Amino acid sequence: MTQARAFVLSEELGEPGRPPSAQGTGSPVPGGRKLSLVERVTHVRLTGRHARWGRRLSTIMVLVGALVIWEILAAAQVFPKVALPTPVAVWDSFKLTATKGYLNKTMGQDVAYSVVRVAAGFVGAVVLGVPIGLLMAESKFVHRVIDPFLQLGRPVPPLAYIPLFVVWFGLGELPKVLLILVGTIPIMIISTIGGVRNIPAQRYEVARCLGAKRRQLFLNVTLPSTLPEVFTGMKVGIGIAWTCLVAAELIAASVGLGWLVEQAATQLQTGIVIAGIIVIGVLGYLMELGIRLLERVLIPWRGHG
Amino acid sequence: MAVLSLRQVTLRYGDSGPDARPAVLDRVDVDVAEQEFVTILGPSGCGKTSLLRLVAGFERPTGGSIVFDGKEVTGPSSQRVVVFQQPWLYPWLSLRENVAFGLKLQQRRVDWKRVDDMIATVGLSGYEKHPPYHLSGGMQQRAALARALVMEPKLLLMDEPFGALDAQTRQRLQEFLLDLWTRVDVTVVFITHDVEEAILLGDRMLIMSTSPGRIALEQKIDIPRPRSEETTLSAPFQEIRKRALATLGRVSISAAGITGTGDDGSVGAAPDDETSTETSMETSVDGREVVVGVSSNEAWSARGPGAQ
Repeated sequence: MTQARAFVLSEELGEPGRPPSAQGTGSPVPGGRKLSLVERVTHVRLTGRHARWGRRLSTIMVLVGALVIWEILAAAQVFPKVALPTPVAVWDSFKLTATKGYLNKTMGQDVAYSVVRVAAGFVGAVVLGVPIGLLMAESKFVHRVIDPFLQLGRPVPPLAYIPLFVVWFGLGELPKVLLILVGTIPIMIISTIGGVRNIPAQRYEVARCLGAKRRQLFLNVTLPSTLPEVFTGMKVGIGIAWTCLVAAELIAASVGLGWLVEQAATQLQTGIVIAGIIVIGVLGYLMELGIRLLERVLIPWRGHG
Repeated sequence: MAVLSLRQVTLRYGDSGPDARPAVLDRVDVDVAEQEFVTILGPSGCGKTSLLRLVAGFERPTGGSIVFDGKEVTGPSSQRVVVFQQPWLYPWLSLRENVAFGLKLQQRRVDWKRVDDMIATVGLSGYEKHPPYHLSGGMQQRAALARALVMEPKLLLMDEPFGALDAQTRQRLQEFLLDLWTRVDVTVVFITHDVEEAILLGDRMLIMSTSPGRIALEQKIDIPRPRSEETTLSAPFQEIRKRALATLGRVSISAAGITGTGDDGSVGAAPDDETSTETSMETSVDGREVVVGVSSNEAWSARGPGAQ
């Protein structure tokens, strides 16, 4: 009996099961929070704003550490120089591409074209995917019609569509944007359907017994309730959109980050390839940050009730 | 004059063949008079929530009829508003917009004074602009009550509305509801599994049995109002409580299906004689439920399987 009680007690002490909302997510709970790297190394407990900077510092430390290892590997010539240039050499390649350009296009132009293509394809996927998902969730008939295409199309890599898209849409910007759109739309449709399906029945029942008609239920319950999962889909989707970029820029492109990486690779310009990859990674991350920011403004209630 | 009449209401899921599951509700007759506060008490799984959902119009009965205000119930209506066990406020709306939600569905221009008056009635003035997740559980449930009452419904259906709250908050809200009910003209059907709550709040208490769900006892509660927590200590209250517990003990035994089986250690069966005086208590040994009942005719007890 005593043992059982002790077990319960230790359970109670472990993780208080209160919602994170109660205290705001930023505040640390002594003993209930994982220590950041900085804290573990320095044995100094950080609180509040300092904790946030501590976590950021941890990230920076990890990145700097990776750079150092990279530099050591490259300097020791573990791999041939052409395969793994030093970080400094990559930085030089980046500067050169940014100022003088590579194959008559500067890094700035590559970034501009790629960002516009990714943004257009992604926005198209959201603008079309969310209503399609809503329709599929609301109507069994629409679901039956569209779902086979969705299931068949999902495993197909965007590369496979290139010949068809060139034949159908030519060599301009349209097939490139469409390729990104086609690659990104399934996740938008699927997360929207998931969002509608996960709405608790009581959210509808509350509105129904207050007199809501079908259209009012859709506008006042379905739409807002689905938003959190739409944003989850968008955060995953923006990453997918960027991964489709290289495939899209295989279509008769003469500018763009995907094109840059592809061209530099054929000429064994590894420094430019790595610089291009890092730029793609940073841009993708920045866009996801943008979506997170929008999410915080539009649905501050996410995670509550 | 009855504002709500249930006649031979039956609810059954699945086939009605020989291996059909027992009806959730079996030929239930209930009349609720205008301005009456009826509590429905029963063990979990007795169909009390199903009964309420039928009256709300969320589901249709398999048989029988439900007549509200002279008309057959065919679907939900803002004349019969439900307050659920959870508040189910919309997190994207402020408290004020949540309370106004039903009015907004019906009117182009919302009477905000009516909304704010109702918020004041439930004691939440000053929190209008807050999102619901800033409010405590008890406050959220009061907001849900305000959202229902602002519609000025004829019938308020409450489905264990205080069941998810801690004991202290529940007691405060019970007293709050007792007081509120004297100020608002509304008929209430209140579902609960808490004997004290059912007696404290109701003009009349219906106890339901399980499998199939039926009304096992109808008990008038003529304890004068205003009532408060102290009412629970009074002799008439205790008298009704004893009677309710006896009935509940009987219906939970038949629910567990262990009446009269000797192998698992249970002895005897509950007497079905309404006139005998009975007392029963529920306790728990090693987490298994044990129901012990004593009546003037015979002693009986039942234990969960494997209890020593």
